[in-house]
Amino acid sequence: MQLRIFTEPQQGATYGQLLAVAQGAERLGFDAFFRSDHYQRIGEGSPGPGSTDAWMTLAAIARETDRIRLGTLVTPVTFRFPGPLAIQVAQADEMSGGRVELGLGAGWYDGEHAAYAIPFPSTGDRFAMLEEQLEIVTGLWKTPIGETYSFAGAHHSIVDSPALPKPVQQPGPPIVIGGWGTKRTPRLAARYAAEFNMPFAPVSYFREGCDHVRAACEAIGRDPATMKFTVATVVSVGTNEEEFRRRAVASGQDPDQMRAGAAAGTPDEVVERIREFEREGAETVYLQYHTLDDPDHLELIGTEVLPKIVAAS
Amino acid sequence: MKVRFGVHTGLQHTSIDDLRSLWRRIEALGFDWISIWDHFYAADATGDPHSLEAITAHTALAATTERVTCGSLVYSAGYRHPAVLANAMATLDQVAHGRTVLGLGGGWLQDEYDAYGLHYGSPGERLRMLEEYVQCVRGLLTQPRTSFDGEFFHLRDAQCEPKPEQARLPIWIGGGGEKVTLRIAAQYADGWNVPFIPPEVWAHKADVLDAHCERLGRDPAEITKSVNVGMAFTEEELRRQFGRMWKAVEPGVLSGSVAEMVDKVGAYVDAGAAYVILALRAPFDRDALERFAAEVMPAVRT
Repeated sequence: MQLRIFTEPQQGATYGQLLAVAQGAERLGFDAFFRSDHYQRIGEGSPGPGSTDAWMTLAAIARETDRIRLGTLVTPVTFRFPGPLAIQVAQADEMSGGRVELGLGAGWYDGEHAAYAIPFPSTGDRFAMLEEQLEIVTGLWKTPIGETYSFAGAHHSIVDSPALPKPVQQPGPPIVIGGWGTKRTPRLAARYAAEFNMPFAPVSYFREGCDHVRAACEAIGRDPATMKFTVATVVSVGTNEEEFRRRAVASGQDPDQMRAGAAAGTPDEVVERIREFEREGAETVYLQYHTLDDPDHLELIGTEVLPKIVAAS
Repeated sequence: MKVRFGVHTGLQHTSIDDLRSLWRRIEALGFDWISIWDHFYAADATGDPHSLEAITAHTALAATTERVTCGSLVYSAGYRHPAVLANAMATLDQVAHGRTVLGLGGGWLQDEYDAYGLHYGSPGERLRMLEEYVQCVRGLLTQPRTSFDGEFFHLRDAQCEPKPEQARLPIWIGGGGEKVTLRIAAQYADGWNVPFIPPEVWAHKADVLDAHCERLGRDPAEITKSVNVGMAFTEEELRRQFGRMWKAVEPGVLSGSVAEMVDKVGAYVDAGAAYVILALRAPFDRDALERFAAEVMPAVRT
């Protein structure tokens, strides 16, 4: 079992704040620093300094860290054409020495597209684009050096691409696919993903959510054991009740509701919640971490939760 | 135009014999869906207590028909422990040979809760209960063992055997609450139903459901969307069917001429409805049903 730190910079964060969290996460021994890929705040509240670009952020952090893995949960297919996306991620992979992972999804947030001149096709088109981009990005990465790659789809076409640059990881950085789908995304995950992530699933539903992917793997002759099953959950930890509640509120959460389902409460409570996910088959838990300016919070998770999880696994 | 038609047969002021003859006729007329409701009292909010029990009627429906999908719209999360309903549905699916659809909702007819001493919580509480309920039932119907520790329900290595004939017995969520109900549907449901709202309102709610799905990383096309509508060729007939609720349901009623009905069905289908379900109650106007099947259904399908 591994723990990863997962941030939501569109709620308002500078690159400097994210770098500090990523370096803290590396120093404390977390497995990865992930971020969302959005350009505009979700929900009410002050936008603060705004968002940053996900892959620029990760590429820069790659040069400031040595060990920690870096990735997105998840990059929407609408933001980048598939060719430039494959190039950016391959370059970040080189810059990090083979430490990046690409989460890819259909996108949903119409507002941020309108706000930054990004076309937002229909739902059906975006899911079709997701399928094509998975094929293209992985196809470009695994094309042998010296050969070319071509693809003809309804949304994207590629003619005689040199399929360069190549990522460091081969056949390519791990692809993460997530969500609550029962048919379409499980089928795509079985075909393209190294990891399937159930975002914010209750413990009681985690295994069932992953079962769709296990079935989709079996349907195409892939051993489900080759898929990594992970979950994302919000985190708020305190050495006492007051501290936990203050951090939950600072994370935009209702403390009681959070305690019922998320990684919330005292360190022991959070360790137990993570173990519950582990018992249901989760191999990694992404802790959605909101308190970017509260380094003591990250320190507490890193010293009082993480060692108990990693030591037991 | 591609759409499936169904009939939702209310269980008040009728008998199993009356229903069985009606269900057979509905199936013969080419409908694809028949459903029952879950009330102990008549669903007209008058305090009238006359209604047949749901699981029993659902089972009779499954035993009486051969082809149609046998649905429930909707079992209330407040009436039975989810393990009781899951066991009933698993057995019922053998009677139906894999034609069962399990609709679930938060409940609304307070008279019957109050009369029987069933806890009728706040809207938020009933929806939290619904969310726990759907997880418990889904686990019991698909997993070898289910443990659940919630605010309302607790399962400890709970087993429900034998399983339904369907590997994934479809669960539909009923209701139009945009913030919570539709989010629950996006997370857990295979289908969604809402009664008696006009096409433009239905279209809006379907969009909200789609948005929840997209945000959760789920293709909205995975959820079968449906609407329950009244059907009456005259206002008099509508008043007779729905009593004092007739005005409330009227925006979601197919009424007037055949052409008007065809247009209204088309508006739902254009907005994404896979099923248009006629919500009827006794005394059943069989002539209107025959006319609908003979004149409206073929016109929609061309």
